[in-house]
Amino acid sequence: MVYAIETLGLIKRFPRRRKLSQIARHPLRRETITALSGVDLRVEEGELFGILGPNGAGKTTLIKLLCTLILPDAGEAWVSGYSIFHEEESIKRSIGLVTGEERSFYWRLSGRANLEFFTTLHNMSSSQVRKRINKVLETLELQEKVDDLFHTYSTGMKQKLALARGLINNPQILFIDEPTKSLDPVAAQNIRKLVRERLVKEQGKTVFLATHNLEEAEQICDRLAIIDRGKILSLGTPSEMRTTVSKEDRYVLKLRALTDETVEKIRKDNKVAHISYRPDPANPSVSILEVRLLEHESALPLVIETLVTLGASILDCSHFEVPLEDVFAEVVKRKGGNT
Amino acid sequence: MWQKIVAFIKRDFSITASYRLSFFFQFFGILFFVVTFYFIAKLFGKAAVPYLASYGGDYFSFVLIGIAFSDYLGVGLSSFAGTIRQGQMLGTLEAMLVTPTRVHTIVLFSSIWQFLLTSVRVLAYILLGVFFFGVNMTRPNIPAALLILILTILAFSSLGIISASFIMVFKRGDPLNWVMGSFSTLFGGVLFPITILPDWLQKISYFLPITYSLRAMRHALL
Repeated sequence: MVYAIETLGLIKRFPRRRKLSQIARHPLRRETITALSGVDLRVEEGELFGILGPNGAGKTTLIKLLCTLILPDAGEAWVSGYSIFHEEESIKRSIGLVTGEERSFYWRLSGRANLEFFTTLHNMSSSQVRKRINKVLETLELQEKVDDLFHTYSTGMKQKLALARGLINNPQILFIDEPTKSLDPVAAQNIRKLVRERLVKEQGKTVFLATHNLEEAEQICDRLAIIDRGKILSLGTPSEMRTTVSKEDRYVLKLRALTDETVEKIRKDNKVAHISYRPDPANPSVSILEVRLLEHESALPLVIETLVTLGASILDCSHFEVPLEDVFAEVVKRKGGNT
Repeated sequence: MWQKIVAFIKRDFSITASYRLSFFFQFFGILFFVVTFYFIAKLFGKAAVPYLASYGGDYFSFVLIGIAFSDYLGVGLSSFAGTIRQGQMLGTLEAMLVTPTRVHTIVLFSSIWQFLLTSVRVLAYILLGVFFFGVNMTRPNIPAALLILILTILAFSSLGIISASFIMVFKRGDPLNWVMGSFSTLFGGVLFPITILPDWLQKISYFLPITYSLRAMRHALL
């Protein structure tokens, strides 16, 4: 099977900057920083894959490697089935890159002039350039201000233009690096919706998204990889990741006529990891019961059956997932701590 | 290819023209230079003739060609490195490198505008000299001058590309640009003929491409 992106044992080291005194003491010593340490990944076509990690984790280095902007020290990677070592041009024809760096445009030119320039570099004829720009502007609803100078744009508009540039050659794979880094919540939400709905769902593109925003990763990514200090620490869907961190599912129920006996009876079930209750501050006749269940699919019906059998009336039942923030912290603590 | 050349020129022209005041002062500076050296030449009078006999004996004509064409050295040395450095600073370099256009095309085409602009400046120097300050170019060998110009640009550009490689690796601090720029001004015969230098210093001049370029250009034009 050909994956959209596949990496095998990617390693990248950068030379470490040394002080003059260190150079004087050991002039020939070469010190390096490991940015990527044996990265293995497989991304399927049409997938929205997120690479999640703190600043300096190696996300941008990985994207640069996959875009053939830098070469690894060891390992191999294929993008659209092409090797990053031997088929650089074929890769460049099939990918788009969107960076969160808003300075990557010519500020004294209009948005359209910027797009025209970068589109020409994709070996398109003048008529193709015009058609493609209009098509992308329409997709991203950018037509209105595209003839204004770039430096007059809002941050959200600049980010949309970066997305337009990434899409200008109609790539099958889009690399997006921190797309909502400096956006307000509304603009960030718009970009996420655009990526998820228009590019992945409608157009079937593969998106490789680097972010340190947990909420963003959870909202839009099909699968995630957590990276820290150049190592992939965990890989899977957000729910798979939760399971690796915690086997417990948390439920909060609002009930009437809950008794101590009922609670004790439920506590005896070995699938109940934790149970507690308290009166609802807004309505003292209602109790709030919190249970954490192992194997919740079979345990929850039993809990509900016990409650109903022993006379409690269930007013509400909510399921709370482990926040991705906790998953991230736990994964980094467990695996990152060993490095 | 032509479409890309036009795209690069259009980009750089639009950016340069958007800084109107700087664009205007660039040409105003030429006038100041020409006037300054016109009066320095008057001060020397006939005293410089023995050194300049093979160039027609006029210091003003000599120095005008020197200053005008040494601009090509500056651009040849700095434009490639400057293009890369500017791209790194603006963040546009990666956006260009991720396209199927090859690196050498990006670097070469990014410098075309600088060479065009330099050619306009050189023309301004010569026209000012000829029409307002009495520079004698009655029998210029234009085909020879163009050939010398092309060879000059090629020679200077090769140094410039080496200089750009320093920028790619070290980001700043390009030693070749500094050495070639400083040595060429002092020993390349830009402001005075190299025959005025002691013999042992003249040996340095023979290692600099600008020495040959300016000598040939003066013989072609004066």
